[in-house]
Amino acid sequence: MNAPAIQVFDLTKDFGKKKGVFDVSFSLMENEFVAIMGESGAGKTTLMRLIMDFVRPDSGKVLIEGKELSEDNARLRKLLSYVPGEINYPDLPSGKAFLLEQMALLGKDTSKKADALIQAFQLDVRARPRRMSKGMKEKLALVSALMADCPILLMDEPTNGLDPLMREEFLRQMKREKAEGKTLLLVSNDYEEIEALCQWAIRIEKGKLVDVVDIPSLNDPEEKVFQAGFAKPETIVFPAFVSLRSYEKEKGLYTLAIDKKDIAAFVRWLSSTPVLFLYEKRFGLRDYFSRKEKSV
Amino acid sequence: MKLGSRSKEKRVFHAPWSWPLLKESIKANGLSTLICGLGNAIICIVVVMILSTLDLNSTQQSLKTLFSNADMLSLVSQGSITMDMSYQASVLLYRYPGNLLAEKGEEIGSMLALTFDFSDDLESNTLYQKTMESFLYDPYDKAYEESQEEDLTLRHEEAKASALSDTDLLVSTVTSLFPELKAYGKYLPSALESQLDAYRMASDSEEGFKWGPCFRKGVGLFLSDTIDQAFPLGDNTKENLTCAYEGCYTYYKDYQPADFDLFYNYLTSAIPYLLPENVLPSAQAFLSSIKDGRKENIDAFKNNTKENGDEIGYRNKVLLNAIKDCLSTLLAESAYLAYLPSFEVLYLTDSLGRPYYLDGEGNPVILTTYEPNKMIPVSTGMGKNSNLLEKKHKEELTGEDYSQEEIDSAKEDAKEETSLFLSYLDGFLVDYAKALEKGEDPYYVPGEDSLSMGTLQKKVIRKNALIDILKEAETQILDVFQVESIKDITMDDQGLEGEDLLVLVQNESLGAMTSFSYHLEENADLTNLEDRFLLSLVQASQGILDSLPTHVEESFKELGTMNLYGILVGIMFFGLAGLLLPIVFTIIVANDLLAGKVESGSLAFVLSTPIRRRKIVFTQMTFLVGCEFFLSLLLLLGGLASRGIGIALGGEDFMVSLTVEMVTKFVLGNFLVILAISGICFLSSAIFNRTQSALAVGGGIAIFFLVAAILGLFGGPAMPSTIRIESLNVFNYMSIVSFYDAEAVLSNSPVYWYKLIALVLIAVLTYGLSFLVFEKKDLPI
Repeated sequence: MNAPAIQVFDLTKDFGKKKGVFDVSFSLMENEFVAIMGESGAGKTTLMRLIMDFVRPDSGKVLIEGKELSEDNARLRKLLSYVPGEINYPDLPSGKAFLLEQMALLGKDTSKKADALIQAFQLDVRARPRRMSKGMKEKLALVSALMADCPILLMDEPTNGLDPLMREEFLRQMKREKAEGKTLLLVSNDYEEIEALCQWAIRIEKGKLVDVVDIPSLNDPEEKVFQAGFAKPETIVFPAFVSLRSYEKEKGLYTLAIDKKDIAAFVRWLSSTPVLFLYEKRFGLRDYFSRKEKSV
Repeated sequence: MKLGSRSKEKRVFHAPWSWPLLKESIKANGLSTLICGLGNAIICIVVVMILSTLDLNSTQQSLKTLFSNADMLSLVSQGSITMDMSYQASVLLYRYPGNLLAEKGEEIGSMLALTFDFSDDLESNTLYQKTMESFLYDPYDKAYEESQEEDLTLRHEEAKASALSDTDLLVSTVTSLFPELKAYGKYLPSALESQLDAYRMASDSEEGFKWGPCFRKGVGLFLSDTIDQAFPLGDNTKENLTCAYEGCYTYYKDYQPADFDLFYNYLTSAIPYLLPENVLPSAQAFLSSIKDGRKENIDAFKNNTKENGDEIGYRNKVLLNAIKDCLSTLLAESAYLAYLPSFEVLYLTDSLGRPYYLDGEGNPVILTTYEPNKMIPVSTGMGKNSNLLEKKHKEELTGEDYSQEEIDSAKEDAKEETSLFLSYLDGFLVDYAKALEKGEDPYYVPGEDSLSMGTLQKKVIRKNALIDILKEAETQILDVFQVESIKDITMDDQGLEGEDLLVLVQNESLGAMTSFSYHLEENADLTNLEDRFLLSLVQASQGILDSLPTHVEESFKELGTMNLYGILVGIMFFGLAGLLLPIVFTIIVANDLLAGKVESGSLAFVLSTPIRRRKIVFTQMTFLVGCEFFLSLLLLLGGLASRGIGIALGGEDFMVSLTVEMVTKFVLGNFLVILAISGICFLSSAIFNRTQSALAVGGGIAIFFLVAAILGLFGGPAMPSTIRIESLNVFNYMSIVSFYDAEAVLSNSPVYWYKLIALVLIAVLTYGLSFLVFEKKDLPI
């Protein structure tokens, strides 16, 4: 069996003033997509830099496929592709020049994949990278990282500046990567993106790992929540298996919680009521964290 | 197959740098490197071109000319004066051996007078007495008093040895002048020794020293000793013999024959009674041989007989040789002072070169020992070079006399020099002797009876002497310039055509001779003839430079010998101006190569490829070193091109002042300074993540070195000492630019290479450290 793609053991990097990363441990299996969440300044980017070996840990270690990066530098480096959080390009005349430069540095010709990516992201490679807009820069960085076709992808908030269409393209591309067996460590605070891509997420607060969230289990909770409106709300009498969470009188909006096993009965009951609208309120990371916050 | 093997080869070579990265750096900085390099080379060309039109070397040449002319004129003047004086003295000696000089006591005469008076009545000759006193008794007394020896007999022997050590001159002069003394000339040292024995006895006796008895006793002692050595007499007989001589002397006192005749007569009649029979015949034969030999010599001398086809007669020949011997010895004795190394005189001296202080009433008191507390110092740093008289008093002036070695070597030099012009004198004297034999004396004014200098036709002598003097001056000039003919000297050598130079020298000679005569009269009140002679010589031959304080003279000389082109190009340009542009370039590029990429974060893309940090550092280092090399290459081309242009504009001088080797060495030094500075900037760039800090530290250090070098320049040896500010020299120790030693290039010293090693070490160290630092550090990208 292969070693986990990324393993992080008791990683600590203390920048002082409680900044840094403290005793963080987690590991990513091959083909796993994992997100790192956390407020700005929590240490997400530092964690990525530690994994990329840009920053050297005070203690603990990072293993890529079971080995430390410095041990087998050349081979391991080839496994990693990185989209930096703060994108700055060398002063080159065009995006194309930059990509060619990266290919030269990679030591392989990936122009085929690059062309496909450029098309997918609708990137104008004639522009000077330093003059590009934030979204353009991100797209270029994504093309650069993805064209390398590395098995392990590390991306630090890659979609911050992308427009919704491109975000979708990004998701599509990543799903394709997933299908190709890649591994992804994604720094993001975009719940939809995470829910769409990742199996699980870790949350970092003040440099410490505070939570690990299993995303599939979030999407299939024991208790489903619906929101509904009725024509004559005063006449509605809820059966026992329906628990009323809240009622907003002005909107006439009921929030109802129903046990997973009572869904069929609930639907039957609904058919006898003057229901105006009904939709399921899906339970996502947002709910997860907001609930968590309330409970604290 | 071929293709396969080629690709295999390709795989074998792993460049320690990354080509794409290198290409990127070249793309980013190539243009600025080219501009900087071309700019620097163009500045170099412009600077050298401007310099080449400045005609620095002619300024330098005229200074050099000034100095060498002054040196030469001073030398020729001294030579001319000495020659002129010797010609006159030799004529005087020839014409009036003895009496003239004895009576007048002028010029170099007193010692010669002694020898001429030897055969006359010694006791009554006061000059003889004076001479004996000053040459024999006084040195003896001095040595006797100063001796630490307690045993009086030993002390006497010691003092005697000391006094006699300086009598060689006396003896050689006496024997060469007096043919009748030649036969027993070898006894003269012991005769003088006997005189000293007698002097001791007389000084210790109750009556004290009296001239007559003492002298007679001395002669008696000598004779009895001499005979004793030939025929052992026994103490009693010896005593008798001495007493006999004294008695005899007293008895024959009224008679006129000279001492020797008197004594021979006495001895001839006395020895049969004094000596044992067996030695009597040989003793009589000895005495008569002395007497006969003396008579024969005297006859030949008096009759001036010619022998073996000689040009001149015996007397003239003897006199001529004696005069030459005497002059050469005398001249070497006084002229060697000129050949002693000069020293810096830091105290005021009187006209005779002696230190003094002022007593309460403001009268000068001459010091005879080194007493720096009492001596009056010249104003700070304004010491001047010692003149002949000050050299004579070196011990009083500096507390340390010349070593015997220095004196010996100076005497040797002086002898060599005087023998040169004595050969001229030879011809002159032979001519004179011939004229005398014909009964003519072209240098004597017939009507004048008075035996004085005035009876010489100085002008006539001088006219003849002048021909020789000018000939000698020409020889000296040829010698100085190392040329065959005076016509070979051109404007380029000395700023004067050879003929004009000769006229200048000849005029100077005439002037110096006239001036000397004048000063000699002026200094007539000086009783010490040597001092009078030297003082007049110094006064007559003093050039403009001798009157300058030492440091002014030194700076002039320094300016005259400096390779001004070399200094301006080597130090001012390659050591400063030519560093500015590359250093600024280096600060900016070195900063950009690492810190700039880290700060912007663009390095993240490079590091997310399989490129390692080490490779990045190596690539950037390769690029930076390559840039510096490229800059220097352009500079070298610029330097060589400008040298070519400089030669076209400035002529051959320029070629000599700025050889290809020098230019290459200058550029190499310039390259290594920049390389070391680039190492420092690169290290700073590797250490700091922020360009601001990297610039501040690396650039700050680099600029500091440059500024320190500029300040140091004003205190360095490159600045002529007149405008040098010594205290600024401290900056030279603060700047690594000093490791490029342009001075050493000019003086062709290996120090140049040693210092460059330091620069290479700095470069290796800083670049090496950059690897370690960059490998270990955290990158905020």
